[in-house]
Amino acid sequence: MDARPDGNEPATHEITRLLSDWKSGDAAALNRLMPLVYDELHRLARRYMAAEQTGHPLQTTALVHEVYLRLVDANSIDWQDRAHFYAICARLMRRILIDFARSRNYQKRGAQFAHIQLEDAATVSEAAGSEILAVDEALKQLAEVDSRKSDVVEMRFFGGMTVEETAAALRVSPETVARDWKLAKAWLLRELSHEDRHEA
Amino acid sequence: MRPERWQVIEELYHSASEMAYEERHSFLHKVCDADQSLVHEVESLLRHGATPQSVLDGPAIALMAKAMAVDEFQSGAPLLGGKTISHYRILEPIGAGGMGVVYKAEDLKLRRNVALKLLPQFLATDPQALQRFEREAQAASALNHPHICTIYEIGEAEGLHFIAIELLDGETLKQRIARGPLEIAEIIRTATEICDALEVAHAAGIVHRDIKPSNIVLTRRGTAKLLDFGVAKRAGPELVRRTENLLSLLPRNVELRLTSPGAAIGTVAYMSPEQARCEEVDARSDVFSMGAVLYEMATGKSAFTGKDASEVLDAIQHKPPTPITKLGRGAPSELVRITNTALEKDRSQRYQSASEMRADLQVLHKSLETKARWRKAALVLGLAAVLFAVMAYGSLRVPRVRDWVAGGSSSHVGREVKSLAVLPLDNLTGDPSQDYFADGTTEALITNLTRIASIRVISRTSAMRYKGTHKPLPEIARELNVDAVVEGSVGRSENRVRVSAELVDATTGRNLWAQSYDRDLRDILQLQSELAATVAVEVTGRLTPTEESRLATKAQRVSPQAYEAYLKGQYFLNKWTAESFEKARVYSQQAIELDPAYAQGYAGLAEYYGTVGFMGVVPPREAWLKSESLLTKTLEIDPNSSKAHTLLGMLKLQFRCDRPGAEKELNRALELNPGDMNALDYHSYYLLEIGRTDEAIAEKKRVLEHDPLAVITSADLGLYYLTAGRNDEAIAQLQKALELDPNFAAAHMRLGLAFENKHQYGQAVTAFQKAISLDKHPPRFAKLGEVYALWGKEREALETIRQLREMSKQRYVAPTGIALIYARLGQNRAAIEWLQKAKPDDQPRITDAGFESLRSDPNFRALEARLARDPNCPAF
Repeated sequence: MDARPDGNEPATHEITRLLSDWKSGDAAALNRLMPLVYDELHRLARRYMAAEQTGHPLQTTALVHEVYLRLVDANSIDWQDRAHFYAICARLMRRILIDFARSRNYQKRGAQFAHIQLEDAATVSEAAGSEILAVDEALKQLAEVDSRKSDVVEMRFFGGMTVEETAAALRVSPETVARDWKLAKAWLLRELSHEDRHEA
Repeated sequence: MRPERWQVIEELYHSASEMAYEERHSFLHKVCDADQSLVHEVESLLRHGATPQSVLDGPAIALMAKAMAVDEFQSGAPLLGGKTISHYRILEPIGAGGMGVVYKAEDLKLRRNVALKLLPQFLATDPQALQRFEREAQAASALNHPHICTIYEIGEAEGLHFIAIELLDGETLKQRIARGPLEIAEIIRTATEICDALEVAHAAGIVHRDIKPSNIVLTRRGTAKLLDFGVAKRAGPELVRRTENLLSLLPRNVELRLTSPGAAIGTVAYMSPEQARCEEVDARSDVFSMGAVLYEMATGKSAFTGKDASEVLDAIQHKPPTPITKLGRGAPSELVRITNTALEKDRSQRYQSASEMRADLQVLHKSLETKARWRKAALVLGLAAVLFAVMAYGSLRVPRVRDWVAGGSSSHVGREVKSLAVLPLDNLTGDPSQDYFADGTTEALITNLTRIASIRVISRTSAMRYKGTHKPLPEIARELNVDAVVEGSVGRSENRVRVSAELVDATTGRNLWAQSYDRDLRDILQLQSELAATVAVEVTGRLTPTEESRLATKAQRVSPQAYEAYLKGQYFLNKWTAESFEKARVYSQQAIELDPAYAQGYAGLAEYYGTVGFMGVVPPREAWLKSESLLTKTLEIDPNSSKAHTLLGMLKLQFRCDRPGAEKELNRALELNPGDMNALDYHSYYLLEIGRTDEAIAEKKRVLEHDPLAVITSADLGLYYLTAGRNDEAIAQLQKALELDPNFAAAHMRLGLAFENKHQYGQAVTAFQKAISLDKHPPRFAKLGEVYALWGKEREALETIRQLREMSKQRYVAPTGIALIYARLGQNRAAIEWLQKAKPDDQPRITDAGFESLRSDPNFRALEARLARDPNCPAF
């Protein structure tokens, strides 16, 4: 259960290459990328929790960036700019997290803990996965209405990018991103609540 | 969605979101013009956008990380079963709180069972998390109180940190509420105890911040215990910063961010408005949450609801909960007041401390105890009375205990409900176009209740005067002279109907009974008679077999569309405007087309034709013939329709001049429903027509008692007195009618007639002039001129004739009026000349006493033959 020793780092160069391949259209690269990123995600989870519990939570964007930098050797690639790189990472994170949530929810079924009435914790962990899946679905709808807003959400929510980074990647003003983000959030939250109602 | 529309939505959203909450709605309405769907769209986005914390706040990766951490923690938890930690042997997991999983465990030293809360291992390595874990224990253990769950020990063994807590044998309040409603005494006791606990916590500078039913345990020994100080906040600068982090703790924090209803609503539903806005909170926040818990205990329903957390948070901040009294159970009004005070949105308006709230709860408890003692005494008395009744009469009518305790104080003990008013039921839909449905249900309830002979039920006209008013109940009760009122609300969806009703003692405001119904719309008729029967039983104790059979409907189902059309027809018919009459016809017609087997539908259309016939909106004869055939049809389907018998009786009386037939119909109607005031009203008119004036007056008085605010009925009674020659009583009665509506012209006319009869011509002139000032109806001028003539004021009389002739250039002026004035002036030739111009329908009629002086004239007999109709059948 302990955090993996820091020495055991992912093969950064390998990841960079796969990411580059995926970007240029090699779908198979993604399959090889996944397990590597999962490990990193677990690592992140522990670090995240530890930081939360100390009462000095890390800045989540910083944390996410750190992960990206661990995944990718930024020096070895010819990304036009950092923002563009992050935008690609955001898309990747979205794919990975969705995939992860799906497999996790699947595992959850028939879990040994099912008989216990764990009022808070169980609901949380159960819901977290399906929430992310729901956001993903709703975001696909949003893309049909307004693709820029969907990009903003992808970068902010899945990519953990700041308003400024998102603005740079999309070549619009930060004010526009802030406004897009605000409306997109309202729209998505409404979609999510509708989905809940259908399920109920 | 079209891109242009989306652009409009975007603009409006941003403009509105910058405005104050209160201004948004009117802004959107103004800008969107008639596009309601646009208003709705933007408002729903604004509401969802206002969600303070949501899944979208954190990066997805952080959310996932938290979920993973929980998974890891949980997967290790069951392995602990059977393991011994320190001197505690783990038995089984029993729950999970803010800071870890809780197990049932055995204390091997003290040989007792405890609840053992374990700090997750992945947190144990973090000194600050550990500190917080300890602080939770310290917060609660500092509060040694019978209604706060006791902390036994905090410790660590083999790297596992634990808190040993009193194991409570019982159930959470949440589970208790789910099982069914709590007794009033139980509610008050539980709330008092928790307020007591909060008082102690607040005094120690600790705000609980998470008061909710799942954090309150009701032990088997009947005491309430407050749990989980996991997010409690100790006031003070140093702790504020640190405890703020507590809110962001796993798993509560994650839960807060979720929009899924199950998870988030449970947590946010008891938040105070200031908590919902993420503002600083103090003891008054716990008071609010306690109010929400109290509300839920009293109603079984959450005070603030919504389909997701954002709606719930919006409701907490901006919407008053559905009044407790609307949700059915008979909560004492004082309990309602206490709850409402605790639930004030503005914390400065709330109880300023838990102790203030507790004090009020205790006062209420005492007053109920006193009442309970009276109830006991009453029971003994009641039993004696019953025994006496059995011995004396050999029959048993069990008096309701309620009858004795209905009063709010001992002076009312023994009081029974003899009269009641059904106040207009609220239209729960909030949509004014649905008013007809609530009004229709109100009327149906009134009609059904009138079938109970032993209670006086206020008729529709008077009851409806209170629509939309917020007069205090005692005042309404005084105006209507009733002991109790029925209040409630009606809501409906496409094919469900929901009715909540409560019976309230009018003088004390005490709830005597309350009930909610949720039914298929097609069963509305059934529901209405069931509701009436329940209220009646509640009031009278028991129904006689006759009453029962009167109330029983043949499980009749009606097409909801037909029923609605009928209600709309009635609604518009009752509005009495030219425009509404036409709508009444359309809807009433629709009702019978939609459901040709619906008896009431035919009666509704018959009533329309009967009414417009009398009003002269359409030629009477034609309308009445139609009405007659529709009533025949009604009675073919439902021979027991008292409404149809009444209307038919009325037609027979006024149109067919068939008095025996009319009497038969009206008697039948009254047999079917002795409280049918319409039937009684026409019956009294029948009696007046056949000269049984004293009986007519007695019946008319009874009608008025049931409809004390109906001006027409009140003025009609004046007319009855007038007809009976009881002029002084007529004057007194008409003056009463004019108090209700000083501008009711007909009452002024009748008042004038009474003065005229008493030869008080001056006052008669004043009254007629008043009536004329309200409505320049030519026959009124004729009466005025006649009085001038009688008074000897020839000049004024002739002036009135001049006015009438002047008027005749614009409108039809019956020559009989001018003739009458000439007759009274003794100018017989002129009178006869004018009569010769008259037509058979003219008013005043040739039968008027004023023409008596003309009898000697040779032409008069011929005129009489031409102008007079069968005096018994004025319609022909």
